[in-house]
Amino acid sequence: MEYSRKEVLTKVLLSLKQQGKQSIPELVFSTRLPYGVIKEAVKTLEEKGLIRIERVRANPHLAEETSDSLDLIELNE
Amino acid sequence: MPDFQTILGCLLAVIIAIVASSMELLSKYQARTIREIFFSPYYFFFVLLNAVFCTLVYWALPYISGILVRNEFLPSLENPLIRAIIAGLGYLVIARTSLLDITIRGQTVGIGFDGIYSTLAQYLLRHHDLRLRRKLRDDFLKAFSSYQPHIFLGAVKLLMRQLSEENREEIENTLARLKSGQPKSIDFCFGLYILLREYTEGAEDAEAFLSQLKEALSSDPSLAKSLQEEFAAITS
Repeated sequence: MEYSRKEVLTKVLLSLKQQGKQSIPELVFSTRLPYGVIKEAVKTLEEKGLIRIERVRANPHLAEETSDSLDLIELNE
Repeated sequence: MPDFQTILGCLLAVIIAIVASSMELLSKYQARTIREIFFSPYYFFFVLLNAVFCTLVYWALPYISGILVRNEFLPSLENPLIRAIIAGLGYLVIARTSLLDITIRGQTVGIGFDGIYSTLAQYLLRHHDLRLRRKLRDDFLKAFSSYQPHIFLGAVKLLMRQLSEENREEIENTLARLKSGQPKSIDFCFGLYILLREYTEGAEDAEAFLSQLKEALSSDPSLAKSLQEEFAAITS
Protein backbone atom coordinates (compact mmCIF):
# COMPACT_ATOMS: atom_id res chain seq x y z
CA MET A 1 0.00 0.00 0.00
CA GLU A 2 1.28 3.47 -0.93
CA TYR A 3 1.38 6.24 1.66
CA SER A 4 1.71 9.90 0.79
CA ARG A 5 4.66 11.55 2.53
CA LYS A 6 2.52 14.41 3.81
CA GLU A 7 -0.13 12.05 5.18
CA VAL A 8 2.49 9.97 7.02
CA LEU A 9 4.23 13.00 8.55
CA THR A 10 0.89 14.43 9.68
CA LYS A 11 -0.19 11.12 11.24
CA VAL A 12 3.09 10.70 13.13
CA LEU A 13 3.11 14.31 14.36
CA LEU A 14 -0.53 14.08 15.44
CA SER A 15 0.09 10.87 17.36
CA LEU A 16 3.11 12.37 19.12
CA LYS A 17 1.10 15.47 19.96
CA GLN A 18 -1.90 13.56 21.31
CA GLN A 19 -0.12 10.69 23.05
CA GLY A 20 3.27 12.15 23.89
CA LYS A 21 6.66 10.44 23.78
CA GLN A 22 6.65 7.14 21.85
CA SER A 23 9.02 4.62 20.32
CA ILE A 24 8.64 3.49 16.68
CA PRO A 25 6.87 0.21 17.66
CA GLU A 26 4.37 2.22 19.73
CA LEU A 27 3.83 4.51 16.73
CA VAL A 28 3.12 1.40 14.62
CA PHE A 29 0.23 0.64 17.00
CA SER A 30 -1.04 4.20 17.38
CA THR A 31 -0.89 5.21 13.68
CA ARG A 32 -1.40 1.73 12.11
CA LEU A 33 1.40 2.57 9.67
CA PRO A 34 4.21 0.10 8.78
CA TYR A 35 7.50 0.26 10.71
CA GLY A 36 9.57 1.15 7.63
CA VAL A 37 7.30 4.05 6.71
CA ILE A 38 7.44 5.45 10.26
CA LYS A 39 11.24 5.03 10.37
CA GLU A 40 11.56 7.18 7.25
CA ALA A 41 9.13 9.77 8.64
CA VAL A 42 11.07 9.97 11.91
CA LYS A 43 14.29 10.55 9.97
CA THR A 44 12.66 13.39 8.01
CA LEU A 45 11.12 14.97 11.10
CA GLU A 46 14.45 14.81 12.96
CA GLU A 47 16.21 16.52 10.04
CA LYS A 48 13.58 19.26 10.10
CA GLY A 49 14.15 19.71 13.82
CA LEU A 50 10.52 18.95 14.70
CA ILE A 51 11.31 16.03 17.01
CA ARG A 52 14.06 14.89 19.32
CA ILE A 53 15.13 11.34 20.06
CA GLU A 54 16.03 9.98 23.48
CA ARG A 55 17.88 6.66 23.55
CA VAL A 56 17.02 4.29 26.38
CA ARG A 57 19.46 1.45 26.77
CA ALA A 58 17.96 -1.96 27.40
CA ASN A 59 20.70 -2.88 29.82
CA PRO A 60 22.41 0.17 31.33
CA HIS A 61 25.09 -2.03 32.89
CA LEU A 62 26.46 -3.01 29.49
CA ALA A 63 28.79 -0.82 27.47
CA GLU A 64 26.94 1.40 24.95
CA GLU A 65 28.30 -0.31 21.82
CA THR A 66 27.15 -3.76 22.96
CA SER A 67 23.78 -2.69 24.25
CA ASP A 68 20.63 -2.32 22.19
CA SER A 69 18.65 0.86 22.74
CA LEU A 70 15.01 1.88 22.39
CA ASP A 71 14.57 5.24 20.65
CA LEU A 72 11.90 7.42 22.26
CA ILE A 73 10.59 10.11 19.98
CA GLU A 74 9.26 13.37 21.37
CA LEU A 75 7.98 16.56 19.77
CA ASN A 76 10.22 19.61 20.01
CA GLU A 77 8.02 22.19 21.74
CA MET B 1 -26.00 22.34 57.92
CA PRO B 2 -27.20 19.76 55.33
CA ASP B 3 -29.32 16.89 56.65
CA PHE B 4 -28.28 13.24 56.59
CA GLN B 5 -30.39 12.45 53.48
CA THR B 6 -28.76 15.26 51.49
CA ILE B 7 -25.25 14.05 52.43
CA LEU B 8 -26.18 10.48 51.52
CA GLY B 9 -27.65 11.66 48.20
CA CYS B 10 -24.48 13.64 47.48
CA LEU B 11 -22.33 10.57 48.21
CA LEU B 12 -24.47 8.48 45.86
CA ALA B 13 -24.16 11.15 43.14
CA VAL B 14 -20.36 11.16 43.54
CA ILE B 15 -20.24 7.34 43.30
CA ILE B 16 -22.35 7.42 40.11
CA ALA B 17 -20.08 10.13 38.68
CA ILE B 18 -16.91 8.17 39.51
CA VAL B 19 -18.26 4.95 37.99
CA ALA B 20 -19.43 6.79 34.84
CA SER B 21 -16.12 8.60 34.36
CA SER B 22 -14.11 5.40 35.01
CA MET B 23 -15.97 3.53 32.26
CA GLU B 24 -14.05 5.53 29.67
CA LEU B 25 -10.74 4.39 31.13
CA LEU B 26 -11.86 0.75 31.30
CA SER B 27 -12.77 0.72 27.62
CA LYS B 28 -9.60 2.57 26.63
CA TYR B 29 -7.23 0.31 28.56
CA GLN B 30 -8.86 -3.09 28.03
CA ALA B 31 -5.44 -4.74 27.87
CA ARG B 32 -4.31 -3.39 31.26
CA THR B 33 -5.03 -4.81 34.68
CA ILE B 34 -7.41 -3.08 37.12
CA ARG B 35 -4.43 -2.35 39.37
CA GLU B 36 -2.50 -0.64 36.57
CA ILE B 37 -5.49 1.51 35.59
CA PHE B 38 -6.85 2.54 38.96
CA PHE B 39 -3.83 2.56 41.30
CA SER B 40 -2.40 5.78 39.99
CA PRO B 41 -2.10 9.27 41.50
CA TYR B 42 -3.41 10.76 38.23
CA TYR B 43 -6.51 8.57 38.38
CA PHE B 44 -7.01 9.60 42.02
CA PHE B 45 -6.95 13.30 41.08
CA PHE B 46 -9.20 12.61 38.07
CA VAL B 47 -11.72 11.02 40.45
CA LEU B 48 -11.34 13.97 42.83
CA LEU B 49 -11.95 16.44 39.98
CA ASN B 50 -15.14 14.63 38.97
CA ALA B 51 -16.25 14.33 42.59
CA VAL B 52 -15.80 18.08 43.15
CA PHE B 53 -17.77 19.02 40.01
CA CYS B 54 -20.47 16.49 40.83
CA THR B 55 -20.80 17.79 44.41
CA LEU B 56 -21.09 21.36 43.10
CA VAL B 57 -23.80 20.33 40.65
CA TYR B 58 -25.64 18.31 43.34
CA TRP B 59 -25.58 21.32 45.67
CA ALA B 60 -26.60 23.78 42.94
CA LEU B 61 -29.21 21.52 41.32
CA PRO B 62 -32.27 23.19 42.92
CA TYR B 63 -31.10 26.52 41.45
CA ILE B 64 -29.97 25.33 38.00
CA SER B 65 -32.35 22.41 37.47
CA GLY B 66 -33.95 24.12 34.46
CA ILE B 67 -30.76 23.39 32.47
CA LEU B 68 -30.58 19.68 33.31
CA VAL B 69 -34.16 18.44 33.65
CA ARG B 70 -37.50 19.03 32.00
CA ASN B 71 -40.02 21.22 33.84
CA GLU B 72 -42.38 18.32 34.56
CA PHE B 73 -39.63 16.52 36.51
CA LEU B 74 -38.69 19.52 38.68
CA PRO B 75 -40.85 18.46 41.68
CA SER B 76 -39.08 15.06 41.72
CA LEU B 77 -35.80 16.82 42.60
CA GLU B 78 -36.92 16.98 46.21
CA ASN B 79 -36.33 13.23 46.32
CA PRO B 80 -32.60 12.86 47.20
CA LEU B 81 -32.29 9.66 45.15
CA ILE B 82 -33.53 11.33 41.96
CA ARG B 83 -31.40 14.42 42.67
CA ALA B 84 -28.36 12.12 43.12
CA ILE B 85 -28.98 10.28 39.83
CA ILE B 86 -29.45 13.53 37.89
CA ALA B 87 -26.33 15.11 39.44
CA GLY B 88 -24.24 11.93 39.01
CA LEU B 89 -25.16 11.45 35.37
CA GLY B 90 -25.65 15.08 34.40
CA TYR B 91 -22.79 16.95 36.08
CA LEU B 92 -20.72 16.75 32.89
CA VAL B 93 -23.36 18.84 31.10
CA ILE B 94 -22.52 21.68 33.49
CA ALA B 95 -18.81 20.88 33.60
CA ARG B 96 -18.69 21.03 29.79
CA THR B 97 -20.60 24.30 29.60
CA SER B 98 -18.75 27.31 28.27
CA LEU B 99 -19.94 30.88 28.26
CA LEU B 100 -17.78 31.71 25.26
CA ASP B 101 -15.80 29.66 22.71
CA ILE B 102 -12.59 31.17 21.39
CA THR B 103 -10.24 29.69 18.77
CA ILE B 104 -6.53 29.64 19.53
CA ARG B 105 -4.20 28.23 16.85
CA GLY B 106 -7.08 26.31 15.25
CA GLN B 107 -8.29 24.82 18.55
CA THR B 108 -11.58 25.82 20.13
CA VAL B 109 -11.22 26.66 23.80
CA GLY B 110 -14.28 27.09 26.00
CA ILE B 111 -14.26 29.91 28.51
CA GLY B 112 -16.23 28.91 31.60
CA PHE B 113 -16.57 25.61 33.45
CA ASP B 114 -15.53 23.73 30.30
CA GLY B 115 -12.19 25.54 30.22
CA ILE B 116 -11.41 24.51 33.81
CA TYR B 117 -12.78 20.95 33.66
CA SER B 118 -11.37 20.04 30.22
CA THR B 119 -7.90 21.45 30.91
CA LEU B 120 -7.57 19.61 34.22
CA ALA B 121 -9.13 16.35 32.94
CA GLN B 122 -6.98 16.32 29.79
CA TYR B 123 -3.82 17.00 31.80
CA LEU B 124 -4.57 14.19 34.27
CA LEU B 125 -5.62 11.65 31.62
CA ARG B 126 -2.60 12.43 29.44
CA HIS B 127 -0.22 11.90 32.36
CA HIS B 128 -2.09 8.75 33.36
CA ASP B 129 -1.59 7.45 29.81
CA LEU B 130 2.11 8.41 29.81
CA ARG B 131 2.57 6.65 33.15
CA LEU B 132 0.97 3.44 31.83
CA ARG B 133 3.12 3.48 28.71
CA ARG B 134 6.29 4.15 30.73
CA LYS B 135 5.40 1.14 32.88
CA LEU B 136 4.89 -0.99 29.75
CA ARG B 137 8.32 0.06 28.44
CA ASP B 138 9.94 -0.71 31.79
CA ASP B 139 8.28 -4.15 31.85
CA PHE B 140 9.54 -4.77 28.33
CA LEU B 141 13.12 -3.68 29.06
CA LYS B 142 13.12 -6.03 32.05
CA ALA B 143 11.86 -8.92 29.89
CA PHE B 144 14.28 -8.00 27.08
CA SER B 145 17.25 -8.33 29.39
CA SER B 146 16.02 -11.77 30.56
CA TYR B 147 14.96 -13.46 27.31
CA GLN B 148 16.65 -13.91 23.94
CA PRO B 149 14.97 -11.95 21.10
CA HIS B 150 13.67 -14.99 19.16
CA ILE B 151 11.71 -16.05 22.28
CA PHE B 152 9.45 -13.00 21.84
CA LEU B 153 8.63 -14.16 18.30
CA GLY B 154 7.96 -17.71 19.49
CA ALA B 155 5.74 -16.45 22.32
CA VAL B 156 3.55 -14.44 19.92
CA LYS B 157 3.27 -17.48 17.64
CA LEU B 158 2.25 -19.58 20.63
CA LEU B 159 -0.31 -16.94 21.64
CA MET B 160 -1.75 -16.83 18.11
CA ARG B 161 -2.59 -20.52 18.26
CA GLN B 162 -4.81 -19.85 21.28
CA LEU B 163 -6.78 -16.95 19.81
CA SER B 164 -9.96 -16.73 17.76
CA GLU B 165 -9.79 -16.43 13.96
CA GLU B 166 -10.66 -12.71 14.15
CA ASN B 167 -7.97 -11.88 16.72
CA ARG B 168 -5.41 -13.97 14.84
CA GLU B 169 -6.07 -11.98 11.68
CA GLU B 170 -5.64 -8.72 13.63
CA ILE B 171 -2.29 -9.94 15.04
CA GLU B 172 -1.12 -11.03 11.59
CA ASN B 173 -1.86 -7.56 10.19
CA THR B 174 0.03 -5.90 13.05
CA LEU B 175 2.93 -8.33 12.63
CA ALA B 176 3.13 -7.45 8.94
CA ARG B 177 3.36 -3.73 9.86
CA LEU B 178 6.05 -4.43 12.50
CA LYS B 179 8.11 -6.55 10.08
CA SER B 180 8.18 -4.02 7.25
CA GLY B 181 11.44 -2.16 6.61
CA GLN B 182 13.80 -4.45 8.57
CA PRO B 183 13.15 -3.29 12.16
CA LYS B 184 15.89 -3.10 14.78
CA SER B 185 15.95 -6.23 16.93
CA ILE B 186 14.87 -4.36 20.09
CA ASP B 187 12.08 -2.51 18.23
CA PHE B 188 10.67 -5.72 16.77
CA CYS B 189 10.81 -7.39 20.21
CA PHE B 190 9.02 -4.40 21.77
CA GLY B 191 6.30 -4.62 19.10
CA LEU B 192 5.93 -8.34 19.86
CA TYR B 193 5.83 -7.61 23.59
CA ILE B 194 3.06 -5.02 23.11
CA LEU B 195 1.10 -7.66 21.18
CA LEU B 196 1.64 -10.14 24.01
CA ARG B 197 0.38 -7.60 26.53
CA GLU B 198 -2.67 -6.76 24.41
CA TYR B 199 -3.88 -10.34 24.61
CA THR B 200 -2.69 -11.35 28.09
CA GLU B 201 -3.46 -10.09 31.57
CA GLY B 202 -0.62 -7.93 32.79
CA ALA B 203 3.15 -8.29 32.89
CA GLU B 204 3.05 -11.55 34.87
CA ASP B 205 0.92 -13.30 32.26
CA ALA B 206 3.16 -12.09 29.42
CA GLU B 207 6.20 -13.21 31.42
CA ALA B 208 4.56 -16.64 31.84
CA PHE B 209 4.23 -16.95 28.05
CA LEU B 210 7.88 -16.06 27.53
CA SER B 211 9.02 -18.41 30.25
CA GLN B 212 6.83 -21.24 28.89
CA LEU B 213 8.37 -20.84 25.46
CA LYS B 214 11.92 -20.61 26.82
CA GLU B 215 11.37 -23.94 28.54
CA ALA B 216 9.89 -25.52 25.41
CA LEU B 217 12.82 -24.33 23.29
CA SER B 218 15.40 -25.71 25.70
CA SER B 219 14.09 -29.20 24.93
CA ASP B 220 13.69 -28.60 21.19
CA PRO B 221 16.92 -27.16 19.71
CA SER B 222 15.69 -27.48 16.11
CA LEU B 223 12.65 -25.27 16.84
CA ALA B 224 14.93 -22.80 18.65
CA LYS B 225 17.24 -22.69 15.62
CA SER B 226 14.40 -22.13 13.13
CA LEU B 227 12.98 -19.31 15.29
CA GLN B 228 16.42 -17.70 15.53
CA GLU B 229 16.80 -17.87 11.74
CA GLU B 230 13.32 -16.46 11.16
CA PHE B 231 14.01 -13.62 13.62
CA ALA B 232 17.36 -12.82 12.02
CA ALA B 233 15.77 -12.69 8.55
CA ILE B 234 13.18 -10.14 9.74
CA THR B 235 15.42 -7.78 11.72
CA SER B 236 18.37 -5.62 10.69
